[in-house]
Amino acid sequence: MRIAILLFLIFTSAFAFEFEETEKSLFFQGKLANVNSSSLFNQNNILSLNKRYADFRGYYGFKVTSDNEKAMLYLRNKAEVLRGDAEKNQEITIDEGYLTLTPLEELYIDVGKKNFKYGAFHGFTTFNLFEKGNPLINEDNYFKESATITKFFGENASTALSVIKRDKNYKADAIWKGSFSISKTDTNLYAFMKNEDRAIGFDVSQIKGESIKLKLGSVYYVRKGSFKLENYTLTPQQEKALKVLSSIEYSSVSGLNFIVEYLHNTAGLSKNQINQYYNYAQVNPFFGMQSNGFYDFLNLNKNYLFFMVYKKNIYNKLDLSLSSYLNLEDNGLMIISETKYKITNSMSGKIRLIIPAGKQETEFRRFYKQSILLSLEYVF
Amino acid sequence: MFRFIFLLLFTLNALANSDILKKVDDYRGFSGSFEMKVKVLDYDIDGKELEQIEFKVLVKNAGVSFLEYKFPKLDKGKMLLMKDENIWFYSTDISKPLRISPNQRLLGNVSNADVAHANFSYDYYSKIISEKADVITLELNAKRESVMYGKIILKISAIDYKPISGEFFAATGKLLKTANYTKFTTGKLAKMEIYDGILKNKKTVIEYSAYKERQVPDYYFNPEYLPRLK
Repeated sequence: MRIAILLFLIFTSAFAFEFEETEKSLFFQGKLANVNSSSLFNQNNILSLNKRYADFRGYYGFKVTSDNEKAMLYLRNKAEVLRGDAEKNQEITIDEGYLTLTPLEELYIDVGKKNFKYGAFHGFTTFNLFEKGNPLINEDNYFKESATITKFFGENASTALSVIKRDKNYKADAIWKGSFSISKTDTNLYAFMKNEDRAIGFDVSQIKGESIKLKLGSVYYVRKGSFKLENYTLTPQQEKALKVLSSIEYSSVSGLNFIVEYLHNTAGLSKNQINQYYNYAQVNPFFGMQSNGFYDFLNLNKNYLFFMVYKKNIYNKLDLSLSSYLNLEDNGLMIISETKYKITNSMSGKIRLIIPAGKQETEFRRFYKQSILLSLEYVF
Repeated sequence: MFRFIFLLLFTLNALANSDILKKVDDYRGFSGSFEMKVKVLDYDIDGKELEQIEFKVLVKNAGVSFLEYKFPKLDKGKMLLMKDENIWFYSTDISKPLRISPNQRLLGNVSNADVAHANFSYDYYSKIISEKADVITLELNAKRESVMYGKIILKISAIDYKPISGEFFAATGKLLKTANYTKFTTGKLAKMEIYDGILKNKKTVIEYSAYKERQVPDYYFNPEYLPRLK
């Protein structure tokens, strides 16, 4: 980040600047999670350490652009006070901050801490190895110290290569992305390299008529990180797998939207395999707890479905959504409901309920607990 | 021969109508790329203000435009890119541009066409259906299925071709809305009032201001460029 600011000062020292505030906001989030669970797997579950917490955040963002528009510095600062059962924290950090240089027409270079989000799907995040976790539950963005070079080709195509700092020794990961739009179809191609993991993939979105959107995507990957079921070893094993996603979205004239997404993962466990695994873990609790460390949301089993129905701007005030993940191997269900209410033009409140359902030893019941999140946002 | 003369006259008439429509369009923007501010005020049937939205609109040409929310503050950072019937949405919440279907309305009760598609001659064929001393009535018929309204009956001034009022119909012939063009400043449309076709008292007011010609490169209208416009 310091390098980015220094580069900005050098690059723009000969030019005048334009200063613009981009954001001033306050955010509060409170979470209550149900800890009454009898699952032996939950004893060491890193995803449920907090049974309640309160998080206060303030954001201040601005950008400074040189008059010739060849250089731009963007900073978004975050002041945070977090109080929970398991953690207490207060800090002021640069949440997002980067320098953008435009040395040539259609060519952009970004250096600094930047947000990375890829993929065209709502419920699944297959195409971003850097974006693990549930996109509907995890609100945080994925700010990474990185350098990206982007080339646009007119209105309809672009390509970008990002090198992302992985650790203090400046070991790096890389992402390449190519995008193009032809008529009613958008296509994205990806290649990832993270540590020893490799992946290539694509997604295609197409609009049909006035109300239907179809999506198809696939990713082939080679990675370490899963345990070997055959001999129940916990040594990370290399796996080669293919994931395939398909989706249909329907939007009615009245504004009601429906989404159905399907994910198939060749490396995931089938119904029989997951039953064997649960049986083994029951008699070997240590194995059960240790194997939790390899857990990666929606990567455990072979087949998943995702449903979502939502409507926005009801009476210009209310956004409602109801989503659910269905694990087709263990028939576990995760229901997520969200209600967002616009209190004033500057203030909104949100309630989110997360309810894992199904039998005790199912993926969602093991790794997630019923929880309620309340949040308030005020924008200055 | 008679057929040829008829076709020639028909073509000349269509060209003349098209010229008139272009003059009407001049009140709604510039022939090249330009930007403007748009304020939408939505009222209920009792005249109570329901919602106010403000946008900055960048128009590349008749089919391509970019729209950025400026008010309410909670919606700041939301953007729409429109290329004919193709629409992309971006907000800082989702952090990636998403293609959306035309029915995924994001502007409350206002259609995208009312806010950003400020060009009749690109979307409609026109013919004069009546001509009086001071008012010309045009019938506009959609050139493509994807155009928002199937037919528009547009009344314009016979003196300077300023739009006066319009009736907007669906392709099925159903009256969707009526509009009065009520205010012009520096040769451009400044205010229009839109009334619902069924709930006649339901009104939406759209105010246009700060028209400015602006040259912008093509790649500003690349969907992947949207995050850079925040």
